[in-house]
Amino acid sequence: MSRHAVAGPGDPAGSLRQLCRSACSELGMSGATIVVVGGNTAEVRYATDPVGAHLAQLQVIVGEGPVADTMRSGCAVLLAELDDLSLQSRWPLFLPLAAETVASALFTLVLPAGTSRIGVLALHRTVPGPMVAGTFATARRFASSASRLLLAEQRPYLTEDQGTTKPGFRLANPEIHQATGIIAAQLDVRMDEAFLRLRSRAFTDHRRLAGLAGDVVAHRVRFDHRAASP
Amino acid sequence: MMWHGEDVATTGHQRLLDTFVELADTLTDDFDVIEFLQLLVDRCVELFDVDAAGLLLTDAGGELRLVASSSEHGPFLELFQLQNEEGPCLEAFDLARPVEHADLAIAGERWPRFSAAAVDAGFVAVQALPMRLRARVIGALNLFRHHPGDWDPAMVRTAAALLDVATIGILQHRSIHSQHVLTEQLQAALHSRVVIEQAKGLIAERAGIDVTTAFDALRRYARQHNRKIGDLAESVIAGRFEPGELLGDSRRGHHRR
Repeated sequence: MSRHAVAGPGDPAGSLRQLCRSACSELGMSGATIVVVGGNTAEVRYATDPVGAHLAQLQVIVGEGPVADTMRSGCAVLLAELDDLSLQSRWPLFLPLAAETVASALFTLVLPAGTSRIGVLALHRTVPGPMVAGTFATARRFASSASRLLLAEQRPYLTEDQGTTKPGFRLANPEIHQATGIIAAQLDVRMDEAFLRLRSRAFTDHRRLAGLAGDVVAHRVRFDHRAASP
Repeated sequence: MMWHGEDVATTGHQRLLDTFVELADTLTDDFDVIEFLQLLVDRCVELFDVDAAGLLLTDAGGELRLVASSSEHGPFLELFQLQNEEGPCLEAFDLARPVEHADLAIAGERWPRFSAAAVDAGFVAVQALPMRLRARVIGALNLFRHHPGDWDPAMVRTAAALLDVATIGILQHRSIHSQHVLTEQLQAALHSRVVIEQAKGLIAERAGIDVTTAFDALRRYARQHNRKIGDLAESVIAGRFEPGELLGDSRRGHHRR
């Protein structure tokens, strides 16, 4: 069964897309992004637009931001104005980068699963301003439904594919982790340090993580003493 | 891609969200499956360009049984009885995919008895969406319209999403305890995938091969030695396992499936 089919019954991925779209229109947002967080990675599972995916990726690069804070605390972060200078001290690296995007407001809510958390629903708007009064509870309900769809999406894999060689989670940008492995070999360091090096380079070179990772995989960029071919 | 409020435009209702919410809120003490499915069919009529709706579930004997209906009108109810013989629901059920018709008056020989009965009851456009639980189809949602015409794909997608949330709601209610397990497994699946990609990169760089070849070697070794690929990848990353050993083994290529 194709995972890319249009939304239909028994197609949690399609329903997740539909739910994100409904959330945008109901909550007056420009985009919705579902981020699944596990260990030290945050994977974009679905984004209605590239801006949301980019905002999530920026937070992975700099290692700070509302997604991580929401994951840690379980509390929503509501940023009515991304270029609010009084917030700079909270996320000194993330906010200046976020302000360069078309997004002007960003709201992150936890994706609950019982007492644990599986990720974050991030909503952004190109127009600044708080969430419309009375819609916060609604946003939380959307987050709750999204959690259920994410878990439901795992069910067929868990029940039918257990013990096989195909884990059920599809990564949006597998090259990021491939590049991490390559860098670990080039520098003879552990994976977490290799990932940190990749993120640092993306930050200093002002590049997207996936793009830089793609260059590493294609041997256009090296991290060891041997000079990279430009 | 930007979103232009497709749902609001097509349904013309703010009630859609409430329905998503209502269907997700199944964790009450007095949860009743029939009432819950009744809510689904009622909301379909309210929200969409639909005049009647019914939901069929398979019973223990494999028969499709009507469990919720927006109307108790006799001729309408007979349409569901007929669908154990022929009709869009039976087809949606068998094919495990949505089945629709824009004008039953010209459906011809496709479902002769069902079409005639539907037209007699005043319904000419029909939509059937399968209700899936994992790989199994457990029922179907049937939507009817008095006027002919193509079904709006956006509306159908939204109805399908509602049906999905409802199915999950039922499942959820029955397996609240398994939720914690699922959460852990989701995290494990994510972790495992990340580790495999990292191992691919590590092996590729050490052995001077590309990541696809590295993955093939990893997978082949896992099969030959009856190991899970995620565990093997974990060993590679932890340095307990030399990439050379992996490639040497794969090049010999014994025990290949």
